[in-house]
Amino acid sequence: MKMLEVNDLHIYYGAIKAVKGISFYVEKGEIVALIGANGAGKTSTLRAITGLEKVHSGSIKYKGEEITSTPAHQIVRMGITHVPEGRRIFTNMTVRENLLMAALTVKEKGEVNKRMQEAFDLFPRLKERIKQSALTLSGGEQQMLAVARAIVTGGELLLMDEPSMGLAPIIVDEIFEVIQRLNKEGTTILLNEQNAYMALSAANRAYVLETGNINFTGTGQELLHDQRIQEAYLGS
Amino acid sequence: MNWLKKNRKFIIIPLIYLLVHVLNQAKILNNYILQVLMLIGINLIMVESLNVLTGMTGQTSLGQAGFMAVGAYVSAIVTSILIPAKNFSSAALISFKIGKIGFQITSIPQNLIFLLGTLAGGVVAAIFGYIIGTPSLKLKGDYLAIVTLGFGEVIRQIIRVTPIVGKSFGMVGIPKLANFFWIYFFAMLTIFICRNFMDSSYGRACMAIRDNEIAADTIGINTARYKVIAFVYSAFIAGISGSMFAHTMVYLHPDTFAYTKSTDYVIYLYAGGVGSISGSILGAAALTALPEILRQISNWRLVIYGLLLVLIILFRPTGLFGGREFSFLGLKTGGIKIFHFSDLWSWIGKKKSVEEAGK
Repeated sequence: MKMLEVNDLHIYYGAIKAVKGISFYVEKGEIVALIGANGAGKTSTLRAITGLEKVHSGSIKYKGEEITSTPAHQIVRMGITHVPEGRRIFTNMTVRENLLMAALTVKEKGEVNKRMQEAFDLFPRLKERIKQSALTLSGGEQQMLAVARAIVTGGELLLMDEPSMGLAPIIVDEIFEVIQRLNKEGTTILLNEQNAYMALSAANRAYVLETGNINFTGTGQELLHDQRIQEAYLGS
Repeated sequence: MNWLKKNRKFIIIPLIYLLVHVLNQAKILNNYILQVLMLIGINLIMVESLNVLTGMTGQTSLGQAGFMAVGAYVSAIVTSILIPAKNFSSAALISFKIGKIGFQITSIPQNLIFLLGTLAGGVVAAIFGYIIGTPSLKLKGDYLAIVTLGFGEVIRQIIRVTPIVGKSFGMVGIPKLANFFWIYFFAMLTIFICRNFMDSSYGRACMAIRDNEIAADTIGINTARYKVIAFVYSAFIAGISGSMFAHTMVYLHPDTFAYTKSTDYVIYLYAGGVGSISGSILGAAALTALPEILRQISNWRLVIYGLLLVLIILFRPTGLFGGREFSFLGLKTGGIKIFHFSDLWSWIGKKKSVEEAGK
């Protein structure tokens, strides 16, 4: 059974058709990337999966269960965690409070501490800043915090919206390393990227979105060497 | 000794009350000052209620006086019409004197009726909070402000045409059941409850919604539910304050609860420090007392009042106490931490409280 299955998804913003009938799936244990330019509909798709965006038509199934119109907070409890675009951390809280917030759906106290420790193992930098207000973190640290928050929330499927946006290359590498490590530990990952090279090298499979449609699909390596992709996205 | 240090608030808080009472009995504090202190207490409860809604959850409300009016009128109806307190003996239960200082415990049945009225006022206001909170879930910022503003005015107009509460002539014959003790008690209770709310997972969820609603959604917070909780909670506290107001003033007029009263509370909150309990206390106390202190210079007092507000907004945009809390509140939550003009603060030598807010 496929972990996530999206069928003929349409998302409209008034008269604007952002996503025009895309279908894709994610198998358990995979890293799947959605790549494409600005306005291709990547973010809308992710937001629709987690219930933040209203779906015009089509269906989204998680582990065979229909979740197209399930509210966002219930989807999180079913095991889909979303790292939203542009970090979206709680700036008025400390790093620790941000992580505690993410543990809202976790009932056992010991489990919360265990997961927090896990997050700090992956991002030792955050541990140093545990009492600091999240506002004072640098862009990279904020993105780390956003990912750490998702680790604390747990969930079997992790959706990441542009994890590399606005970050220095060295931090992008670090984030992608963590993504691959999380994947090895058993988390399935669906990510959005504009940094096509980075996404394709990390992903098992990828879909290329162009103005609301899926134009190509294939394994990460295939697409990385595809002539058309190279011309359009990799600039060679 | 350690026990004393840990529980010092349980000693200090009654001591402050005793001090005020003794000073009043010794004629050092006259009844006018006591009345101002009572008003401060009432306003403090109101600002705290607005702080829960605006400061912590980020939902703008310009109709807080509407909730207050509901609480005031409902409690007044209970104590003067449904169970008239005047039918019960008002003789003091116990009264004794230590030197020239008199102490008394006022009539128990009257106090019980008063508490019942207050509870009724709070509950009915909370129901109105639910009625307003639910349909306005999708509204944000200015639009929500307009809805709440409209609500406040609707409540006022309904009161104006309701015969049982005296229509637009105002409601008379409300027993004077509130005294400094009760107002002080409820103000402290409100502070205590708000502090615990702020430090709980509910409070953190509300603050998460204020900081970033999308992120709050993605970590599994039912944003709609928490917004309604904040509305109901805030309205309940406002209703309690309304009851205190009714039984202090003994006369209610619908125009008292006009939108200017709501905006007054918004000003108190923002001047004191939005999102900070200490700020709400300070804002309510300073801005209630200020016009009274400036009363001697009659016409100039509004000028000075306005000027001070402009200065606060210019130099401390997050309010006098924005982002920090009195240490005695013992809050673990960070609250707002945007420091503007913090140099001024360290210059005054309060650097320590900033560090404590960071812990």
